[in-house]
Amino acid sequence: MSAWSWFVIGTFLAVYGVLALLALRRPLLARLAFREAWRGGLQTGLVVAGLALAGMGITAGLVAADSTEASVTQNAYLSMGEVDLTVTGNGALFDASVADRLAADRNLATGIDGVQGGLDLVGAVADLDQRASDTAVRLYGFDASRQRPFGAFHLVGGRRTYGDDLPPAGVLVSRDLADALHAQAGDRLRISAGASSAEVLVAGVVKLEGPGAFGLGRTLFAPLGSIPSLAAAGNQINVVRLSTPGDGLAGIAAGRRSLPAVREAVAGLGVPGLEVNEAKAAQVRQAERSTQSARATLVTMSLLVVAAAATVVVHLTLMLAEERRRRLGTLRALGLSRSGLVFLSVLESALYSLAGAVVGVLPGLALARYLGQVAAEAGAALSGSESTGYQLAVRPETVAVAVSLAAMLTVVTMAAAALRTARFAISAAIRDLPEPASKGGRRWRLLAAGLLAAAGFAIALAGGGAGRVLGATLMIVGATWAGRRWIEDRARYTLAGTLILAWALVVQATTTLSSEDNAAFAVFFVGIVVSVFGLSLVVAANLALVDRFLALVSPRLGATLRAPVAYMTRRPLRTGLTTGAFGIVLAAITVFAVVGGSYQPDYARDSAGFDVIVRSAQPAITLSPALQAQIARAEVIPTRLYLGRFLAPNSTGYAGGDSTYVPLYTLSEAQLANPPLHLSTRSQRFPDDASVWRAMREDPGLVVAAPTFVAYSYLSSRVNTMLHEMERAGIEIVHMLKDSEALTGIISFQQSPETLSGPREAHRDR
Amino acid sequence: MGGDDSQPMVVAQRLRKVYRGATAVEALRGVDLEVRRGEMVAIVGPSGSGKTTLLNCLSGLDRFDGGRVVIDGADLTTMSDRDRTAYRARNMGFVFQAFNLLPVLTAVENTEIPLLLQGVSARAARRRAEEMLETLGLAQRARHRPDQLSGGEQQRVAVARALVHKPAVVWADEPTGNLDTEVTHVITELLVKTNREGQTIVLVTHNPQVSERASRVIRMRDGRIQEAARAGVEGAAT
Repeated sequence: MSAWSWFVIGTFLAVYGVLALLALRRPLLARLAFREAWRGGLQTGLVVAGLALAGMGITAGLVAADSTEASVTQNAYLSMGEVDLTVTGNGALFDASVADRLAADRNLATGIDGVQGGLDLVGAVADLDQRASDTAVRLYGFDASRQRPFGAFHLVGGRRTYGDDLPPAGVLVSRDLADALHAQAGDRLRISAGASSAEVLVAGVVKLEGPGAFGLGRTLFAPLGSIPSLAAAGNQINVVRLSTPGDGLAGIAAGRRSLPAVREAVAGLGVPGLEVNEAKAAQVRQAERSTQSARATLVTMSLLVVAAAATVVVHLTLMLAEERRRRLGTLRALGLSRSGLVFLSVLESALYSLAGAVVGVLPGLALARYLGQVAAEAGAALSGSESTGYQLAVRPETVAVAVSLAAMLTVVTMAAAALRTARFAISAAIRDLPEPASKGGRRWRLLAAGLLAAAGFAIALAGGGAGRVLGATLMIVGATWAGRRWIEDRARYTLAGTLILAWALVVQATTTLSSEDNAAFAVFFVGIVVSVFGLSLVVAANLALVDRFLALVSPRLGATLRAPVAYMTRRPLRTGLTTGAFGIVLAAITVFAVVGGSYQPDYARDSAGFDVIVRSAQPAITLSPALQAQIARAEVIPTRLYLGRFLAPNSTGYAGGDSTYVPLYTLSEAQLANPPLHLSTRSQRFPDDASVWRAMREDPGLVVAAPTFVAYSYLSSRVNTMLHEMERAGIEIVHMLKDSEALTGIISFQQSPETLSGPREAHRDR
Repeated sequence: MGGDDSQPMVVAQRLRKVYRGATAVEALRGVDLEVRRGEMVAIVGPSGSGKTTLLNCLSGLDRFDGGRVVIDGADLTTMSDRDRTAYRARNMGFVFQAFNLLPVLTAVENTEIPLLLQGVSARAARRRAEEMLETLGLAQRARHRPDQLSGGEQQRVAVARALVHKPAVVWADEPTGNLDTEVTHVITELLVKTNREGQTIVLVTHNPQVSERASRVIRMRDGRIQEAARAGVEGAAT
């Protein structure tokens, strides 16, 4: 269990423990709290259901984050199969005898189940029979004679094979690759990797199981004997795969135990440049790391629900206090202190909160499951690969944290509200009369309003865009509070609501969505909550207009609705809170619906006027004169496929790993002068798009990244960040491509960066 | 209870209370009053004359804007809210027009509230509450909740709650206002009996049937005490 979990659960236990002790010391209050909490079946049910919103939001956020992590981690295990350790030369080829010598090493006999030489490449594959190609395919070369410890390939149709019974030049393709090429068993494929190529036959399509899950996408599995031409001299490999006893974590642990022996054995080979990698552990670590941003996003989104829930809690507290005002007044008259009254409210709210938090778990799990499935399907659709499914991970620790957080959130909110509701005139409360105007407290009110405004000012100064929204809102609230004596309520609330709404909208409108950090998201999040409340306040303060309108339209209806409208008008702040709670939920739904429904990519703009993309594994393509005549404009963008170590910073540290695949597109000097690509986000140090392209010509360390690639791989990489390990000095992302459909990768000037793979070309014709 | 018998139980001097709203209303205009130990004083007067306000200010339920209130030698004027609350718990009992029993508690649980708020142990509080209910003829109804009791029974429970901790003063605001004639008589006799046992009682009432049983009647009008009735009574009138 993490320190954070310990802290949350510990705090929850401490808070509830203290409350329990105090309840034992004050049996009257405990009895009252318990009886009040469980008094009315329907009322209790409604209150608990309202409070369950917070539990549901928090549970959904945390469990969805856990499930995403579990699913991605599971995929990492699936992708690595039985391969726990690898020996590589960082992409360089070395002699296949390295694998034989390691397999024969007696010191490895106990800790290592299997040793296999192989090739791990990225290349292009063309189906010569279907006349279809894919320029980005993982090539998994394996030694079929040593495949057994690594498991059998499961073919579509039910057959299993270790590869040693495939026909000469026979290879296996993943279902994703088969779908992309429309490939069938018996089709002829041309594989191109680096400067080499080979012609092979499709012997079968493999399922996403066992070794066939490698890459989790478009992968070609070839026995080394079927692709000798890809291995330079024909007897070279670039990876030795090692399997240790045990699956999953046990395999990783066994790999770690065997690591010293393997390193010693590799060192004893006398082959320079070889290194031993904890491949599966690194892959799993990377998977876990890559979900940190998703976790932050999911938890932040769930805060929208929590914000709505908090307003419901405040409203419920005020409602309960109002309903029980006479009883509370009686208790005060009989000698219960104000702090005792607060304790009574806290005790009762603790019972409600705990029940609400527990009840919220089930709908939270259902919501997490739904969100996860939607995300998994969207992810699969985005990457164009077979969905590996979504694993709902319900960890007791997470549920305990969710219950603790939700319970404490509502307890704290209700306690804060109880501090307010415990202040009343006893004599008026006893007889349920309206609260008399009080001369006292003005100085305190002014002081508190001043402190609130000062806090708002400090937050506005320190907090960026979101801080400006929140800070100014607090300042407006402070001023509204302070002005109670001088400005009539309706005018005050209308003015405050309008100012809050206007300010939130102005800040949101002037914040660039794709700025260099995550500020836009924070502004959006805070802005939506604040603007909903601003608008709710305006509406609540002016409900009297509804009364007048109804009276004009239908006097009878007006008379009927006068009482409820008057009640709501009398308490604009409370009505605003209630309206706001529903408003936030509606706003969230509306935002998602509108964003999803109104997304209409501008293909003409985003594709920079190009209509057709032709990806070819050949350095050049020849078109027939008839076709040539139809082309108005064509650009050739050479593509190089990088497979190796790659690190990119994101909000949670670094993403990437030892074996990361990155397509690199290089533009010529002429293309940089007249770029064929449309751009979106720009580093602020460049005044316009043209200056970015000019800078790339002068500084080979600058690149442009395609957002799909960045979003797909790292979620939160952004401009002004450095990509490490790709070359000695690193390269810096200075721009994001608008055209995410067309290219997926990094665009650089032709002089940068040096990669390990040979050139490939992508043609864009019109 | 149990102060100097020669000292008055309740002393109010130049008591002023103003309600602030759109226009300020002076509910008490410098009231002077003394209630002796063991007295049963009835405050009467038309609606809006300031009777309930006076009772609330004397009992410490309401703050006042001027003057001074001393109960059994303790000056409420100088007490903090917390001290005043604690003082009420120890030295005052209340009977309200609408009974104001807590609906989630039974009769005996309602009765023991003042004892528990004073820190009396749960066992002792229960015993004393049961004794008090038995005294008032409610032993059979002790385990019933207010909604299972008649109006008269509820008010008797309220009286039991007001007396159970032996307060210095019992304040009763229209104790028979929600009761029929027969039950009014029962409750009035109960208060009179209690008063005869030495309990100081100050009550507000519109009902002559109740006020005529008091040892002194104070008549209020427009925030002032108009007259104090009963021969030989020294109630100050301003």
